[in-house]
Amino acid sequence: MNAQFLAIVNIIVYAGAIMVLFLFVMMLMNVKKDKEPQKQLWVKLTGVIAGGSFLTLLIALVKQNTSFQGRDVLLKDGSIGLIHPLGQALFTDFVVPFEISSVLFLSAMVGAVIIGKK
Amino acid sequence: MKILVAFIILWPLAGFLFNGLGRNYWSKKVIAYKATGYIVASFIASVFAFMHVQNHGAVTVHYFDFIHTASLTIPFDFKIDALSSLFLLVITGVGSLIHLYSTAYMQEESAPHYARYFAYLNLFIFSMLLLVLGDNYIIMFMGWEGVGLCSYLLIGYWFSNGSYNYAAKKAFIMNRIGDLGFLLALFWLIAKLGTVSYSEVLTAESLAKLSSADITAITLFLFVGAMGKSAQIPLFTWLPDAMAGPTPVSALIHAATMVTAGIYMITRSNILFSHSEITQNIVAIIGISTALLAATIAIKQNDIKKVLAYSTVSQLGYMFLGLGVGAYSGAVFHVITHAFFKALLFLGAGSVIHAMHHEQDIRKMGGLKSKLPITHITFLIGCIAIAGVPPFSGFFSKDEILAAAFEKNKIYWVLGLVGAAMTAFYMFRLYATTFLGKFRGSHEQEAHLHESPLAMTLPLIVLAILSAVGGAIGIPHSLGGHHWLTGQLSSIISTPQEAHLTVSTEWILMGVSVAIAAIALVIALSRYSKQTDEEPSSAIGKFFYHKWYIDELYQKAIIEPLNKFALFLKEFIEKKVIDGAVNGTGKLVQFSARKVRLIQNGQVGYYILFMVLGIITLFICWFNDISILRFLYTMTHS
Amino acid sequence: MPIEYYIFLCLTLFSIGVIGVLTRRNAIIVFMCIELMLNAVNMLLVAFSKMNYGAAKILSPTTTAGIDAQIFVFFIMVVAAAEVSIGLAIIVMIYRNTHSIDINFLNRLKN
Repeated sequence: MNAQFLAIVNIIVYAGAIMVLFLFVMMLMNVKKDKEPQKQLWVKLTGVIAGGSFLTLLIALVKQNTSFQGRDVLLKDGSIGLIHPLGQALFTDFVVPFEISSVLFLSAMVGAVIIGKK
Repeated sequence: MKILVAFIILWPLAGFLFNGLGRNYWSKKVIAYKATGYIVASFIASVFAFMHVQNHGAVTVHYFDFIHTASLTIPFDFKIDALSSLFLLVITGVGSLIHLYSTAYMQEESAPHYARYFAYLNLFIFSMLLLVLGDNYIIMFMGWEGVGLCSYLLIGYWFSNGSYNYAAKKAFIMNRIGDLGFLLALFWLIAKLGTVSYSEVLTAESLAKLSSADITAITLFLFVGAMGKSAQIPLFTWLPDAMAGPTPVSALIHAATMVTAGIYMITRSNILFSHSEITQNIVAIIGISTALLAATIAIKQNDIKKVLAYSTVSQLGYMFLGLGVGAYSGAVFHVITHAFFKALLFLGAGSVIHAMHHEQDIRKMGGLKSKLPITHITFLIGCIAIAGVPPFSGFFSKDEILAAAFEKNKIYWVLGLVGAAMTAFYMFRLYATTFLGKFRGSHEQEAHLHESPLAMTLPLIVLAILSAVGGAIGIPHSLGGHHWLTGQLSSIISTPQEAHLTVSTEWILMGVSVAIAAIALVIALSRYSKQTDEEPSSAIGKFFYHKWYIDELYQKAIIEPLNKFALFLKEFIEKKVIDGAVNGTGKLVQFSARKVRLIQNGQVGYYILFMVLGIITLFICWFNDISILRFLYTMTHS
Repeated sequence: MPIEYYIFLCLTLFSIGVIGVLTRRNAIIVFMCIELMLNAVNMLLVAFSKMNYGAAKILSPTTTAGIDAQIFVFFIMVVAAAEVSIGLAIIVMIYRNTHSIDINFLNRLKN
């Protein structure tokens, strides 16, 4: 869909940072699979059924909605996925959330450190 | 006139308030003077009212509107006419004599109780006056209920005794059963005519509006009310038990005034009754049956007051017989003479009881002639009067009723004669056992025998004179008189009875009744002046002695099933059903709360599950589009 | 490509994430499923963005019609990153206190 910027950011953030964090934590905790008792069967079944019916319902909703008929996703084309228009919008229309997100990161870091310290 | 009438009725009320509220303050003397004084003042005012009616005719006095709605107006009016003024005289006159008597009779009581007694007695006079003076049925009903209440209060005057309280309750409850009939008649009248005033109900136009079924029903219900108040079959068993109260109370309430309320009511409504053959027959039949039944029981009783009580029931039966055959003025005449001699007899009995230190069994009395001379003479006069011996008053009134009965139906007359014979018999049995022969009591009692004080003997003397000459107001034409009483009441009575009998027939009737009474009298005297009755041995004797077992019958047939029913209601319905429902609701809430609480088990997984389920439900309800279901249907069925 | 395909794909991913959250017991696995849900939403947003851009481009070639969705996706990723760090720190603390990462044990919210 020619969303280049987002693709790169996705890779960097998820595969780079979040996965690494997960691996760190898993190795830190030494999880053994067989020790913990499994969840009860009926709970799992109920979960599956609930989720399945959720999916079915939403698909039905979408299918019976007529406003999506014939709308197409433009592939391989377009300039909005490129970094230039995205950067422009980000720093002109959406600069306030941008700055606030940096504050958010700061607080997350501080929180993580504090929680980890105790 | 308005103020005068108001005074007549307000003085006894003031007496009630004064004595009732101040019973802890004033001495017995003050209370006695005030209480009696109020009633005497009422009596004097009644005399004035009576003279007024004689000179100017009937008066209706309006005070205020008691009930005033769009569809129904009930004014608070008093009506003074010949009938009510006569009753006023009797009530206040005999009432004041009895008040005077009570001041001496109740001397043994302490001051607060003494005051309580006179408060109740004054309240009774007030209610009775209200009953008699009212111009519509509602005021009469107010008085009706008031006398029932006072009867209960006075019968249970010595309240520490449980059986007296039971008797009082019995009286009140039986009264109430009758009152139900009265109320039904009232409601019927209001429904059909929209009014209860005498001047509007008791006219020919109103009668035209009612169908004959209406009139029969209304009069029957009114009679049911009279049955309860005036002790006819089947609601009469309260009256002998009511002898538990003090003797002056029995004299006033159960001889002279309250029990005659029923007769007053029927006489007032005579135009209604004259138009209903069925009710009149029923009244007559019940009247004569009551008269005979009570007379048979009285023959065998041994308590001086019980004999007099059954005699009252019997005489009331005679009065209703008179009403049933249309002899309204005869019934009223008998009411007046009965008030005189029955009050006299009761007060005399009270004097005897007082002298014998509250001994009431006549088998223990005898020979009191020499010890209690005044009581003896007055009692004898009373007995002669009730037996119907001329020229005493009882003869004239009873004969008028019997003559009217003869006209209507010979059987009534024959039965009435039988009753008269029994009346003479048991009264003279009572007289002979009490006053003649030798004294049969203990020595101690003999030593204490003395004549009663003046306050007690004076009323006896006055009443004796009245019993003797009271017949003068109703001497019939056949004997040369001009029947003043019928003339008085002609304004009230719609269809005045005319004497259809020839003079000679009347003479024969009178002679027969006198002869029979005399024979019974002589038999009784000869038998009982020397000896008393042993315990009844024959079956019939036992039957009469035990009051025809009617009390036991009522107990088994009515009281016990009612008690069982009430017990059933309490145990089953009250405890299980109603309490069960209320408690069950509480238990249900508790139970469901316990179950619902388990959802909150703290596990996040569950919470998310419920969230998902909630979203599903929300979507289904929100996008409530049939196409969702159609799609699902096609998906699953394709 | 018609938009429905993208919608279906994303819905499927999303419900797989939901089932994972409801079914799994290990806290870390639950976390990963949450990330999965977030990613599905991200993809859907980008698809919608291109759809609107495509519709608008026909009218005027230099429009920036669907750019809001892409910015939105950017911020979602920001939030996801922050949330992961905090969440993992909490899990480490719980492990240190209870030596288990079974979410059934974490029922202090009971009653």
